[in-house]
Amino acid sequence: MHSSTLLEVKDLRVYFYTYAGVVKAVDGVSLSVHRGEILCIVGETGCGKSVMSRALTRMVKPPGRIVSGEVLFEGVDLLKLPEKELRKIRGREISYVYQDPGNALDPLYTAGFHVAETILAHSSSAKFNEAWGKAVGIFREVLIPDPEAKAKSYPHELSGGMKQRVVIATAVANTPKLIIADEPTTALDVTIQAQVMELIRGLRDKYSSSVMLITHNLGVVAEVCDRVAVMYAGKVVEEAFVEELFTNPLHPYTQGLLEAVPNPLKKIERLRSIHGSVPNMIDLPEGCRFSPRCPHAFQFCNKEPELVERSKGHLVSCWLYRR
Amino acid sequence: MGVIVLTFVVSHVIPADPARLWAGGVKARPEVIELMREKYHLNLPIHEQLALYIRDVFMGNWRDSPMTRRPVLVDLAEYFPATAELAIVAGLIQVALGVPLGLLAALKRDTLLDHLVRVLALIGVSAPAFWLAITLQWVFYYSLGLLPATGRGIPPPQTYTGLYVLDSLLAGNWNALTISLRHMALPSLTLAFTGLGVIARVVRNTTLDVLSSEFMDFAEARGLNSFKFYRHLIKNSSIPIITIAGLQFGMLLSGAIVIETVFSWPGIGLYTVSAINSLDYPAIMGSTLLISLVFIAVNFAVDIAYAIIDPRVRL
Ligand SMILES: Nc1ncnc2c1ncn2[C@@H]1O[C@H](COP(=O)(O)OP(=O)(O)O)[C@@H](O)[C@H]1O
Ligand SMILES: [Mg+2]
Repeated sequence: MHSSTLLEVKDLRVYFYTYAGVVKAVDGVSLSVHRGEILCIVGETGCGKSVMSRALTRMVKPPGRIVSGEVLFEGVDLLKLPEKELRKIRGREISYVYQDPGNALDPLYTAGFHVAETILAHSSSAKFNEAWGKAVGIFREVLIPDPEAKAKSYPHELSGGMKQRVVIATAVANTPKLIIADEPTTALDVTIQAQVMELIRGLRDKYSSSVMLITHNLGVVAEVCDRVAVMYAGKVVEEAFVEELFTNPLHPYTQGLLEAVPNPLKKIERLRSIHGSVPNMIDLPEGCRFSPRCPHAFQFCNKEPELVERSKGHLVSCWLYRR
Repeated sequence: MGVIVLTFVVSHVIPADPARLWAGGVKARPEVIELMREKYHLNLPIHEQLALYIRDVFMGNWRDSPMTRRPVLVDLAEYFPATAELAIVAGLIQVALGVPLGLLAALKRDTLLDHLVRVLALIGVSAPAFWLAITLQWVFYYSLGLLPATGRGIPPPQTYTGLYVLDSLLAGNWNALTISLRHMALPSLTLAFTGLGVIARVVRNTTLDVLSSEFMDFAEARGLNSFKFYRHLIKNSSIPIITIAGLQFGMLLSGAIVIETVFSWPGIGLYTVSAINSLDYPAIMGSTLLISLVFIAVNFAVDIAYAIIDPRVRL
């Protein structure tokens, strides 16, 4: 294990046992998060990003089940930890920022209460008033104007951008080692999106936390990430530093993704879309999941490729790069 | 106001000659019948009767009952506490059993317990109350001799509220309390059972709804301990639960009519039934009006409870 590795995921599988069949939402994800970095997870909707990120702290509800894998957080396998221990990790060591701030906050409690409560949940000594004071301080840090008054506001009295700042405030309340932000700006206006991204980056610098940022916006990836993991149909197919990925994408899926949007680091003549559509997660193609859509598919592709390091820090799972 | 008009019209469409009945039936003397007609304004056109009645109700004169020959308000003050006590105790039983049952059913979804609650709700809704009442009487009074089958027992020596259980408690009279509670047991259980399962089901479904909401998921993601987690769950579930409890309380009041008849419980249900049998318009209207007022008061209380719990609701 890398000395600066904070989190290492090995062959994680999360299946949903539905009436229609077994949905293999996450099917063999391996990746690692280094200390202090922002790792982006990109991939089309439905490829298992959210399920994977929640499974890291075992937040999977029936009919979903974590079937196998390891999640090593500072060397400890979170999947083997008793629920009580895990609860101490959630919200303290690993915290979440959810996609839709409108629904993440309990409408019956004030904004400040959520933050104060999250502090109290992980402190045996603090009094509510102290926690409230801290919460107001954190509101100031996440650049909420008039923090005293906003702390006393109920969620319905705040705008979407403000609510997302409150959610971020709960996430940084206990200065966690890892913040998992699941499409934190998708539900927000474009102008607010940039501010929230800026905020997340600023907080990473301040607390030197690691951030796992889930997004499908490659512009955001180029702007804020240090490294990128590309997911396709429940698997990580490529992992690399951001410049490397944008200048030298190896996996045909990544290449397709980059050609489908204006590339901030490379000039291309015209945008192209990836041919075909996302596979059905119940009935996955044999072998490489991308092969039915892949322009380079050849006879090897009916077997599943492994994620291997091709050059320093650049991992890819594709038969094109094996001899 | 609408309530007054409605009760008035409904009670007056019955095609019968009440004056003759009130004056003593078929053998009543014509003068007496005429006197009755005068006293209750039966000679006036119906809309004038209505206007007079509305005026009197607002002046606090709910008329005299031809059946008991006392002011209806006095009768109601005597009978209503018995019904209120029955409904309140039944309501408390429903909430005390229904809410935890529903919570458990939700948390242990699709287990044996969950299915039992479903069956209980079904039986509660579909079993006729009088059948259940008679069955319980047969078992606990006739067969086992454990509990009294009828009446409220003897009133406690001091009257504060007219609720025997409460009065016995206030007086610190344990003997009276035991008697009241033993008489209370069968009627209140029967009445509670009719709605218990419904409450449990509503609580279960509400709880599942709240549990599946994103903020509960986020509460878990923040690592809240059980107490903090359940606080969010219960506070959010309480809104629909209060709604159904308010509705159920109305059901309890109307359900009391059947229960009171079977258990000879001297409440407003029994009073109304005998009023109907003797075409006692003032009594029928008075008790309907009172029940309606209680309904309105309960709804109002529910609205106030919403406003207290939910910051999005403003009165
Ligand atoms: N509760 C569930 N039951 C069944 N399937 C689910 C459930 N939650 C997620 N899935 C499936 O898991 C897959 C991955 O979902 P998700 O992780 O939310 O994708 P995304 O990458 O867009 O975040 C999807 O195909 C989705 O249909
Ligand atoms: Mg998602």
